[in-house]
Amino acid sequence: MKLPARLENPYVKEWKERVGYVIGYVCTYVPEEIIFAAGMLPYRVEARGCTTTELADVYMHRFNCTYPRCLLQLGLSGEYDFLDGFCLLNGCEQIRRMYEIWSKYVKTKFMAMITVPHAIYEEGYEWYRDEVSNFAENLRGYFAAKLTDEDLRNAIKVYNESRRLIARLYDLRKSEKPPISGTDAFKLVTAAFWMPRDKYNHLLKEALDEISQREGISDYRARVMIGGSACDDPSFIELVEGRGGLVVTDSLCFGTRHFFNLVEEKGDPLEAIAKRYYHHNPCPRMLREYGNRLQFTEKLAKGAKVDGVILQRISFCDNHGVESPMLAKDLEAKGIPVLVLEKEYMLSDVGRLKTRIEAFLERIERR
Amino acid sequence: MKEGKERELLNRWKTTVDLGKFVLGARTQALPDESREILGMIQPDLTDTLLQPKNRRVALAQCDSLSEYIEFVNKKLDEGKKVAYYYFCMSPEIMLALDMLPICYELLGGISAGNYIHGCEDGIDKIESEGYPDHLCATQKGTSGYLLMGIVPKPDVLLMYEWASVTFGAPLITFEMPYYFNERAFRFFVGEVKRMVEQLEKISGNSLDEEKLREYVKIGNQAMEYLLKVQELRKEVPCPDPAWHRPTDTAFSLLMGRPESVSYFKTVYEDAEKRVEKGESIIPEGKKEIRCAWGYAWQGFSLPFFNWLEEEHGATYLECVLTYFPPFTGLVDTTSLDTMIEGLAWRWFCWPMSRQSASFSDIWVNDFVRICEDFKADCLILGGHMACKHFWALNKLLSDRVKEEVGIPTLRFEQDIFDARFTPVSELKRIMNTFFATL
Repeated sequence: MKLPARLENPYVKEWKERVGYVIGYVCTYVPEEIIFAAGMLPYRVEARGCTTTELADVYMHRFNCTYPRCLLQLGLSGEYDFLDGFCLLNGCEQIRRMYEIWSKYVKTKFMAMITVPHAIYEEGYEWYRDEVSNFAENLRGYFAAKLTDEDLRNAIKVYNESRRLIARLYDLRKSEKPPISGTDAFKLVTAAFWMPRDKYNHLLKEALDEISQREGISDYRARVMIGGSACDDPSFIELVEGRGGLVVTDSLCFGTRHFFNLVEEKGDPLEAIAKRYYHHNPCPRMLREYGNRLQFTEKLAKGAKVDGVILQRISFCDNHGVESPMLAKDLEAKGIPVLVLEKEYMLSDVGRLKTRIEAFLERIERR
Repeated sequence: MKEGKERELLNRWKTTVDLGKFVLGARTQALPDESREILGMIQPDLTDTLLQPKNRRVALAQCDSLSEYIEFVNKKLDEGKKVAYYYFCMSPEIMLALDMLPICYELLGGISAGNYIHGCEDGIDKIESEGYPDHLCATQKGTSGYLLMGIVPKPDVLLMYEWASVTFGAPLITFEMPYYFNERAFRFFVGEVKRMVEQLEKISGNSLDEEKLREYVKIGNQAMEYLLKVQELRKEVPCPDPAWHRPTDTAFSLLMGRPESVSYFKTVYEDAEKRVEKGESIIPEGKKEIRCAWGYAWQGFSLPFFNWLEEEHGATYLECVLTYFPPFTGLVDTTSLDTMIEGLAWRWFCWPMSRQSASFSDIWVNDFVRICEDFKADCLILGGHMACKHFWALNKLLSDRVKEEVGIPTLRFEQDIFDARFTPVSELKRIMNTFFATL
């Protein structure tokens, strides 16, 4: 499978030439199926390998986490000029504020915002469903897209297939000798965000057939799970694996939290999509859900037989700033060692990260 | 003095207030020995500020009001009422009517920050020692630390604070402030408030009595009426309302429904009205007034700093995001239970900061373009609270628009509004001196 790199993405290039519109989005609460069903390519904006935020820093401050600052940097530097639309979300205090800056200075033609209540309950769902429905309506209106129920049903099937295939990849990694490194697995999983999903499914299926035949990796020091703030860059996973850890699962919003949970294929398709996205494994932005997140994390950790969990949190990330010490305390109490690691979105301060990871692996080995 | 570790902070405040009354000449009885320890904790320049003739009446009203509030809290604790910690973008009328003890989460750290040399640093340090990052909001860190230290009452229910809910095993009630400021969002919010009432009824074991609620809403309305009137008076030139009232305005607005809030705002209004009538100024004679709109937050760890601004620079403080109620906030219609719930929902929908920070940047930006114009501001000051990430991603949009449409300059600086260690007062003064020298 040729993986879509940030600056060299043949799939987007081909889509733009042969099909048409590309719609950027942030966050796991933006339903990709709707964009895909409207005949457009959903593209989760990312800034892998971004090394500077000098343009973004004019509008966002050093107290803003480097994830939105890096995304904005690329927007302002023209790297996202290929987007025909951009859908943001009130996911966190910082991401949501990109909306106005992006609208004013990046000037992507179509801008949208989906707002999601901060807790899971019936009335909150109704609000979210209306937001999703308005988003679909706006896509129809602005791009003259048909976006029928049939289109939505087809999109659901395509996206559910991805979810099943990705779940298979995670399952393979549960074995004593996982047939693929965490770095490569993460590259395969995240490729789904940046290429047409039907093509992705086809290529991933082929890749899985090949991967499942492999002998497997056994020369690792510890099985590790990664969690915490937004992380789309495999270089961090590579850093962990470079120290001898093997990353076998994650609770990331670019990993399991995005890809687990299927959409119901029967009934009203828009309703089914809204239900799945609203009720999927929740982000720490969702209040009253800490217990579920703890349970989800523990289940993943035990399922993949991890020796330890690394909760990486981006500096100035409020959501994970509060969540990570809570999770660390509770997971440690359940006998799962945890390392809370402060970092930037872009890979920097590598020496310190390596030392902390090394010390964590040593701690695990001493048990 | 009440026994029990969970009243330690309240007792500290009580002694502080008694000392304040003593200094202001309103108390003649001798103070107990333990007052000496507290006296050593109080910011020395606070006394100088409060003793100034222009500040004395409001200072005394604050001491009286705080004293009564402490008495109320102690009484409710004695009676074993359910303790409900609530969010700083609402007022407690409903909880009062349900016979609960409402405590604003942020107020515990805030009042400490405003009075003591080391503010609420003990609480902040405690929570940070548990692994919580320093960039989280000190207004919540202070109280969270106090809860861990056990020196404030344990919560029976929390409105909005998941960490405390998990840590203390108390139920969590959330209500969503939708992202839009329109009819659809408001209708949804009214529903949220109704759902909150249902949950509070279950927890308190009481049902919401219309007459009781009316009683508290009327008290809240009185405070609101004075607040809106004094807000209007600040448009006068010269501004008749001292700057150090802005942090205390925030504190007392969070007690709307309690008579202490009325006493405070009434005194503030009367003082300001008298000055307008007499054409008096709050800045030294001969100084030119510099009218400052604070586009974000005051700091709460040094009230004397605001007095210094007036005395040293003639700089008055017109409005900020933590105090501004749009004039259309109005009063709560007390006709029926429904109108009262809807009216409170509307007030909270318009509540300072909640209105601006829980929505698109445009609301905040437009509010302050209008404030700068209406209040005849000479400059916009953005004292950015380090923890408020949403502010740090809109301040440039705000200062650009104000420059474009009102033609006034902006000063932006970093601070932690409850933690003096981040940007100490000496540094704040240096920043101000430099800015006013170039204005």
